[in-house]
Amino acid sequence: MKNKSISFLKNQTNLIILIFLVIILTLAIPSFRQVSNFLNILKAISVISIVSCGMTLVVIGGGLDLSVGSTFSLAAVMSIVMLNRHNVVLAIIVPIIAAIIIGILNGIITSYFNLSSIIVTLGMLSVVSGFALFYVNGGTQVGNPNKIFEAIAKINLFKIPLYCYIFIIIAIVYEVLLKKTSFGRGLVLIGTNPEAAKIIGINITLIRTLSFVICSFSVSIAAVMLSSRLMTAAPTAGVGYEFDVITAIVIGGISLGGGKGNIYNTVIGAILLGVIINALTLTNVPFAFQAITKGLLIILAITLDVRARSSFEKQ
Amino acid sequence: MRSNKVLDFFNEQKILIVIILIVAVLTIKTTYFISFANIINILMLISIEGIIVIGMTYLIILKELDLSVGSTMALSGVLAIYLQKYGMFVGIISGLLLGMAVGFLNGFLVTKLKLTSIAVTLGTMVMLNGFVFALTNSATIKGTNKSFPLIANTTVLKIPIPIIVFIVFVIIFEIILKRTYFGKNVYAVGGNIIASKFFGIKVEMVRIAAFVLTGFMAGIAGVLLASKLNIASGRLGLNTPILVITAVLLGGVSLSGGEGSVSKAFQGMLLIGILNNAMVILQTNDFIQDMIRGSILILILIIDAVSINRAKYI
Repeated sequence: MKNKSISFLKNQTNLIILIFLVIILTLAIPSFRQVSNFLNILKAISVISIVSCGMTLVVIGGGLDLSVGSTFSLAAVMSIVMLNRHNVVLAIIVPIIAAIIIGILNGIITSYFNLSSIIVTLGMLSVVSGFALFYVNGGTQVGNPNKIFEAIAKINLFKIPLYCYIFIIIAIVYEVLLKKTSFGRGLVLIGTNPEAAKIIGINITLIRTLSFVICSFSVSIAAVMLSSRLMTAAPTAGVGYEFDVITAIVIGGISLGGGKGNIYNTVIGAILLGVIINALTLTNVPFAFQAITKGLLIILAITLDVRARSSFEKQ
Repeated sequence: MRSNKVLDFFNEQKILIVIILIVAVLTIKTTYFISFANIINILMLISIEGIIVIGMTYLIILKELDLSVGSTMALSGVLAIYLQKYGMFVGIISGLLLGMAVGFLNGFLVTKLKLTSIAVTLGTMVMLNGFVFALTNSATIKGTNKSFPLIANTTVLKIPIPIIVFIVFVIIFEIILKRTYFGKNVYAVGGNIIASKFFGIKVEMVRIAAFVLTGFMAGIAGVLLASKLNIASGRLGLNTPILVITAVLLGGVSLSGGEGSVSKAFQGMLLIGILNNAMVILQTNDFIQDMIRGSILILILIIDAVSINRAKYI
């Protein structure tokens, strides 16, 4: 009984840190405790969290997708271009289809030829970012005013923007996919022990490809959301995004080795990161020191993760 | 049997073959391509980041990656320029020391705390970027010392110094990798870490040394780049980790560790340089150049995978 509660607390380190941090910040910084600030944090983390949720699935399957940043750029510019040239429906559907194609390519090339996903998606990063730049000839796209498209970011339900709900729905759906379906169980097994998964008869190509497709799909949703919020899109919008996403995942305590982790931890990691960045901004800490803090956090998070794991293994 | 040998040769030397093909096609198109000036041009483009490729090759043979090389390069350059007020050599030496210190930190965290190198170096990358922005106030800083720019802009026998440093380092570190005790240990640890430990190789020492080497190379690259441009900024080095890793892998060094060489990685970097140059000469759209580079990387990987599979069935 006691062991159970201790292991529960151990698994919730991030949540506990988050709660303490929020309490301290609420007491210490007056501007932090305003409702509008909490909304700001939610808005800031929604976009990146959706991508992180998708990436979590890939990481659990033992892979890594470095092409999320360029896919994000491509989907964002496509969305605005489609909006200007055609209509709202295409502005939402075309980026999603493009992203799904990228996901299928990533998944099939890595799993069918049994290649390292880091290198394949690195190649895909160049291809897609080149294509995104070529598609709009390097220029930032400004969207024509369109009430329906802007509504994705502007409509509020209970004072919370619509796209924050999209984030919450996606997180829940992915968690269910991971925990309750044969896809999720297969993915965990592939991440833990691919040889065993093959022997049992799991279709590795299909499941891995599916995880890449879900990841790219999430990227396109996030990109459409951001395009709707800003109504402009640069073909370089997603440069370096892959590193931000991996940061959120690592802080969430997901092992990059595969086979472990869940969406809930990723979301807590992303919120934790969002709250810390928000607090640093509110206290006027320069951008440079925010980056230093972020770097320290990544190293601290993985160090703590390994400490926890090795003490667990000793028992 | 004989056809297999021919196949093996082609498989082993495919990068060289691709390079020769590109050169042949372009020479037919324009004689400028193989002129001395253009060869120097190509080498100059790849030499500074090519120095980092050497260190990264050691790491990839050891099954590690270093994502922090770009920001290490940027910070070394910033230090080299920022500390010029205390004398040129103070700046240069602190740039180099910084590279080694970052490498040691990475190596220490990865080996002693048993952390994943991708995650650790991602952390140091973000952190160092922060230091760069803190020192430069997110702006570009200019050098004030008159002799500092001469380091990278002087030519010996018409060859600029960065190229000489690059080529000499490729040769030295290829020899170290192939002919010394340390180099053999690098292959052993990359191939099978547990067996290496069993044979009494100081595994941790070898891995830390490779990280320090990579950091040192990034430091040299940073100082040379700062000297070449006489400026330093946080924007320099953003694409470096991806470029460097692509070059090593393009050269046919496998991410599964235990194999590869500096000369192979050099071929990979050379291919990138020649491709870039060829596409500029052919006036290919900048953005299509990115796509071609990425496609070639994926294509070579697939060819590699298919030929390995065939080898298995034979």
